[in-house]
Amino acid sequence: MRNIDYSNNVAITREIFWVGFYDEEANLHCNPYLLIDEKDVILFDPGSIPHFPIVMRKVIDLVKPSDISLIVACHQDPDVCGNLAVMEDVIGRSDLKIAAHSNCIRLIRHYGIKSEFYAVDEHDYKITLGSGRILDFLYTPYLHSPGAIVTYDRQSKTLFSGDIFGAVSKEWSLFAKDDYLPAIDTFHQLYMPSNELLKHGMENIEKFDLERILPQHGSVLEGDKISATIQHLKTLPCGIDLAVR
Amino acid sequence: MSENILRTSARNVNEVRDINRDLVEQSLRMRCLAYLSQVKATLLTETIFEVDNSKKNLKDLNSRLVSQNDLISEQKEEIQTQLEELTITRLELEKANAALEEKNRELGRFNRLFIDREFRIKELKDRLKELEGNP
Repeated sequence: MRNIDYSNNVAITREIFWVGFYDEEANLHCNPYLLIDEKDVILFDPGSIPHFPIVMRKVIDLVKPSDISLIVACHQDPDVCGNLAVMEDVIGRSDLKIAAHSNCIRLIRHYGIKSEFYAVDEHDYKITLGSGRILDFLYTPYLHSPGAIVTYDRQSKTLFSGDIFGAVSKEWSLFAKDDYLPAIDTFHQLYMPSNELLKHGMENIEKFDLERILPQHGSVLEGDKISATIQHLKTLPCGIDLAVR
Repeated sequence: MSENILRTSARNVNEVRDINRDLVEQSLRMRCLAYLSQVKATLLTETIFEVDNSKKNLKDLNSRLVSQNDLISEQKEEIQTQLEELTITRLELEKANAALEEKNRELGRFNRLFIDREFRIKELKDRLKELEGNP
């Protein structure tokens, strides 16, 4: 098991870094990630206002804030992108873009964002970076937001999954340990609307060639855990399934 | 000796790194607070502006209401005056009407008297004819 210093950013690959805040008191951890490409730096789900100083400090340890050219918000919730307005103020780039689904952009605007939005549904659900690297966006409606998306990096075979594959528990580690499923179950049963929608999402996600899944909450999934979790979530009753019972 | 120096140096470097990290976070926290304060100040300014505008609008509305109220008072006074004049006219008309009614009644009395007299004359004429016809 890796011994990780969570007070600093954590390299997941040579280009992808966890830049989150490890709050020992919290049951729900937020995981912003930084993808450093040749010509662009992409920040995924920058997090909340209280997490901003730590997230930004970890970003600054890697790149200049002004190097960030794109922020991806998987949906509009305050734990995902509540600090967007401060973030764009510190980044200070007039050409900064914020990528999200139109259904979320409609809501994200209310954070007082000045930057240009990149509506993924109006750009064939993908973006080509300066280096030619392509990020694909997959629409995952109602998991758990009407405009939720996940992002797939073809080059590193990494899925930035937003709230899908999230987990909630007192014991947290950045990389999933063997007993990771109960925490995933709890999160999905609390926040995902139904198994029907979750199964539909899983069937679309499993089409990707995946080496790792980086959720916005919970732990990074790698190797066999990916397929096992997808198969497990396909049958997990959640949301309305449990409420009706 | 040299080990001690190395250990001390390493400790110092770590301490400096930690202090530096804390300072960076603190400065980012302050930047965040400054931004939020700026946002709050902007919102507050806009709110004050809105309140001021609203106050001005209310003041305008109030002065319009006052002038309309004055107009209504003037119209009310005018109506009152007209009402008083109408009352006087009505009283005069009532008096005139009463006088006419009195005259009418008097004429009625005269009329009845004349009719009675005509009937009496006719009676007398008839009696005279009767007496002339029967000597």
